[in-house]
Amino acid sequence: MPVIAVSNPKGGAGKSTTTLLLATYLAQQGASVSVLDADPNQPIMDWKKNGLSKTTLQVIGGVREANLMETLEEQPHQFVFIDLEGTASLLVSRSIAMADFVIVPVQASAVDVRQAGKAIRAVRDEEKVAQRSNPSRRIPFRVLMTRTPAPGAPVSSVQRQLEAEIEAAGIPRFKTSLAERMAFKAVFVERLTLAEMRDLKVGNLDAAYENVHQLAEELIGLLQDIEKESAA
Amino acid sequence: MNKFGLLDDETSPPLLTSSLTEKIAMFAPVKPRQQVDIAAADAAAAQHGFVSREISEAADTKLLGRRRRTVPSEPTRHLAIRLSSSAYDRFVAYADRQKLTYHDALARLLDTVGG
Ligand SMILES: Nc1ncnc2c1ncn2[C@@H]1O[C@H](COP(=O)(O)OP(=O)(O)OP(=O)(O)O)[C@@H](O)[C@H]1O
Ligand SMILES: [Mg+2]
Repeated sequence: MPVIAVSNPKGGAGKSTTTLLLATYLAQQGASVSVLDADPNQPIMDWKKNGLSKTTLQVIGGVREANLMETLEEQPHQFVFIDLEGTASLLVSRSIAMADFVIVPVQASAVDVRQAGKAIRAVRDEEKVAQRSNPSRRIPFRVLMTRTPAPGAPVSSVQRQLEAEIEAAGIPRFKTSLAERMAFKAVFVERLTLAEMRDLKVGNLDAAYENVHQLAEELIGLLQDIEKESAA
Repeated sequence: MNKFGLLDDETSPPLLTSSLTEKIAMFAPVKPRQQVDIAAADAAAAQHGFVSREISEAADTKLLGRRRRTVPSEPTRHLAIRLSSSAYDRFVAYADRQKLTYHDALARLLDTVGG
């Protein structure tokens, strides 16, 4: 049961979008999935409660410092995502400490990358702390570039420079990025999954779907490697 | 098209999807959770500015020597501001140092200048 924390202390980096797209996609592929909504604004809970989606995804709201560990232990699911708020809080750092994998969504802006650095340093320190009692404990993470130009559109020089900086700093990154797409905004507006928006006019839905499929493939590949490693 | 009438383009996407489903099926639903030393984890995070953002009266009194309202006594409104990176960093660092939420930090600054 991999626990996947989605974290960047910068607000609006794409955490909730990434969480919802991946969680609903895996659910649609037959996985049992839950999202712990650990953002006081409860964006995923709102999506589920006030929407008409038929997804099998379970959303658990009201996750706080005091009940995080207990709530995690209660999850009978194959995949558990934690959508975190855009701030540096103990709820965020504890979620990282308990996670099997951390996704750090980053927009191509200097502020986002700097704030992502905070999340990454926290992951590395939490890993060190955990290794004191369990030397084999790892908290792997990947940076995910979000709101990137759709394939074929020009890539900004800012983005190229930031990608080069991330590379040079030896920070691991998803090969797939999440493009800027109307359909990804629409999932929150319509409160439906991508697949359920088939009949709505929300930009290039096929391309959006393919993007999420690729990201999910990459994520599952990484999680498989992690499981193999921890079993070894 | 090859002589068997098979179109590679049409057969590959479903194959991709089914392999993802198969891979997913290999993940077990329940696994014992990592044991986490919360106090040590919190201490490590504090160095990077990760502090409690939850309002608890006991913690407030301890940290700030004054009580904060757990429930706002007046209606709240939303303010979104765009500011320079340096001003952003100063504000966030100030709030972190003072262990204040952003709205409390803003109120504190206004209190300070009598605004
Ligand atoms: N790939 C994308 N394409 C189009 N719009 C996007 C994309 N990613 C995010 N957005 C939009 O950007 C805004 C912020 O995204 P989101 O809510 O996912 O960020 P967040 O990191 O969860 O924010 P917060 O820190 O407030 O929790 C939303 O309006 C969302 O619709
Ligand atoms: Mg969010």
